[in-house]
Amino acid sequence: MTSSRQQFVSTRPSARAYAGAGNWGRNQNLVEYKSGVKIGPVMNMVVIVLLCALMGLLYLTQLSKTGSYGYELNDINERKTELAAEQDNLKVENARLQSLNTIKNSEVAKAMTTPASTDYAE
Amino acid sequence: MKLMTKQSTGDKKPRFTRYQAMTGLFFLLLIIIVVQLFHIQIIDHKMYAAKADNMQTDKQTINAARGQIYVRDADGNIAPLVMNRTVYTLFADPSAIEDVDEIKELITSVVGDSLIQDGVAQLTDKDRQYVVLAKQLSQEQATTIKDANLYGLGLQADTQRVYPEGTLAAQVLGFVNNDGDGQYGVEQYYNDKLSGTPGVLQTITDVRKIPLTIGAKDISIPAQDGEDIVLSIDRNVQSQAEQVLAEGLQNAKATSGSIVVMDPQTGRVLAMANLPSYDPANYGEVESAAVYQNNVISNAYEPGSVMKLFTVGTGLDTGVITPESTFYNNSCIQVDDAEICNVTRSVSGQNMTPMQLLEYSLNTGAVWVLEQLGGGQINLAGRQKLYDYLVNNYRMNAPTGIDLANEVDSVIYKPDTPNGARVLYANMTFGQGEQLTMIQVISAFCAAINGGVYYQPTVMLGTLNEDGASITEQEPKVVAENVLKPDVSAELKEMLYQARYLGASGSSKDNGYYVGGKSGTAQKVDPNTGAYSDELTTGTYIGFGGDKTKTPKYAIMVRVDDAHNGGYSGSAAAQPIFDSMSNFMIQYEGVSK
Repeated sequence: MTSSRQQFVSTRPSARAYAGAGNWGRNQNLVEYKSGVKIGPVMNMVVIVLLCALMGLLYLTQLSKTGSYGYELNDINERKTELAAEQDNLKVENARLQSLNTIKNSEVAKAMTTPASTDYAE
Repeated sequence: MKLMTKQSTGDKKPRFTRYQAMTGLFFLLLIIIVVQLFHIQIIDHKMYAAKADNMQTDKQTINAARGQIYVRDADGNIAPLVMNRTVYTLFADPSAIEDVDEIKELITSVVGDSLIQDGVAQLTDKDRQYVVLAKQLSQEQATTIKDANLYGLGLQADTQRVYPEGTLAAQVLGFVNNDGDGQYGVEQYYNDKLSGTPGVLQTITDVRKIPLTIGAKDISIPAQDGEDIVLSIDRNVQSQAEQVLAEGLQNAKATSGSIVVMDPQTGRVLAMANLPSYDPANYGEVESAAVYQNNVISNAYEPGSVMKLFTVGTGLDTGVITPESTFYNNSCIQVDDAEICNVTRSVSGQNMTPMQLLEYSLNTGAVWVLEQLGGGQINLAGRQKLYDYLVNNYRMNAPTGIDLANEVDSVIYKPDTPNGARVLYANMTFGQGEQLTMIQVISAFCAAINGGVYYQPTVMLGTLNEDGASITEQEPKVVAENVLKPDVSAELKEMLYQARYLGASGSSKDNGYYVGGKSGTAQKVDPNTGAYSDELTTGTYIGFGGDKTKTPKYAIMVRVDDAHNGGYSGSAAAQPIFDSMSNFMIQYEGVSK
């Protein structure tokens, strides 16, 4: 098993540090950390698989999101079709209300009288 | 195998360890899988890709909305005559229905008596997957059913032609059959223009066939809706024409007749009606398919005495007669073995003018014109001249090309027809022997009275623009000029005016409007005897109306078949219908004295 804690390894610069020239030589307070976590080959594989799964999930999420637009679009199209049909029906009703038969049978038309005399061509 | 051998014998070291065997087996399987994948993905790629496409991709046809048909009135208002409405077909999948009673209860309450009972009875048949329960449901009914969300029920949207003005101009319009094809009239003639072009929608779909937005092969070609047509038919004139025709036929005790009103200055038809008619919304409920036929264009008949005006026009235009010419009017004349007599005998034994020929509708006078065309006798030269005018000037030998389906041809015998050409042509001068359609006669008549310009008769004014208010009008098409010389046209028009008010019927009085016309009564051949019958007649009246400038504003032609109100049907049955229509047109068009 590996530990999640990190170990303090060294506070003293190595001899190799002194061997270097320039500013490094004065950085005697440099420290070096080494992770105490030990990742074996199995864990490596698990991590890779998990990462792949994560990437796949991310891809699927985005894809589903795009796909869901299709449903949204379909709903909107259906609504549009319904509204267009409703509009057509209202236009038909409007035309029927303005048709000659409706006008002839209206109260206004019934109240009309025949003119007393008409100057015709015959 | 080797492993088993080792276990069973125990004295021989196996060739492969278990690990090696498993590894080998693993790689063997891997190779098989790789080979199989290679086969599927590379070799059979196309086949599987096609299968996948077929399963995942849905290709739908987007129906184009059929163009609507409009008419207008004198004020330029546009009114719809044929519209589209969305209706729904209710169907069920009995194999998927969970609760039949619930569905029955719903559809009975929503659809009512319109339910297809055979379909309802099949709801319990689990072997079926498609049963139609009702047709032509309204949107409200469809919404109620949809909102109930019952599994196993489905709705299919469809478009239906509706007619806000009912049966108005039914035979001009025609109808659309169940396949969506126009039949008869404007619907058939302009089927391509009205139909539009269907679109295509190809998308990846889910299992419910709902289109998804992803997919490289998505295709979306929108449908191009059909064009909206505006007819030259005037809604008010058409309505009045149908009304006066119905009343006139009733008065004449006749069962069938036709009327057509045309603008003589453009060739545009303002009204065209026939009786009996039908309801295009219920076109399948007629007793006989004959009512679909528009007799104005689809029925050739012997025009009778209205032909005399064309005979006189020919005589005047060729110069063989003048308005002042006279002929001695015998009651009867002999042409070969046929005796041709006048109906009006009261003016026999007098010299008559061409105007009086029209006034008294003298058959012998019409034959006299034919004789003048031949230099004083009925000969081939005279017949040829008359034939040339009928064919080349009046254009009566071929369909007019009016934009309505099923226009028929005419019958005009050639002048060198063997056996009886002299009698035949003598008869043709007063309208017996040739067969013409009403549209041919009125189109030629308009040319004869408008100064000699033959316009292409049409019922289409133009197309409605996208704004739904303006029209792209098509210009009147001049087919021929100088059908008659302009001065001859004016003389003929004046003769028709005088003949009407001084006419044989004596019933007309001149109130100052410039209205002229000519009646005609033709005997029909009795199908039982094969001979002309006095009982079976075709009465016609053709005339025009104009203002004080003597410019014809409208032309009207009326036909009444087999009238039984006494007298000659041209003047007794058809003329009253013309009078009523003409009076309406005077008021409607605002014709001045």
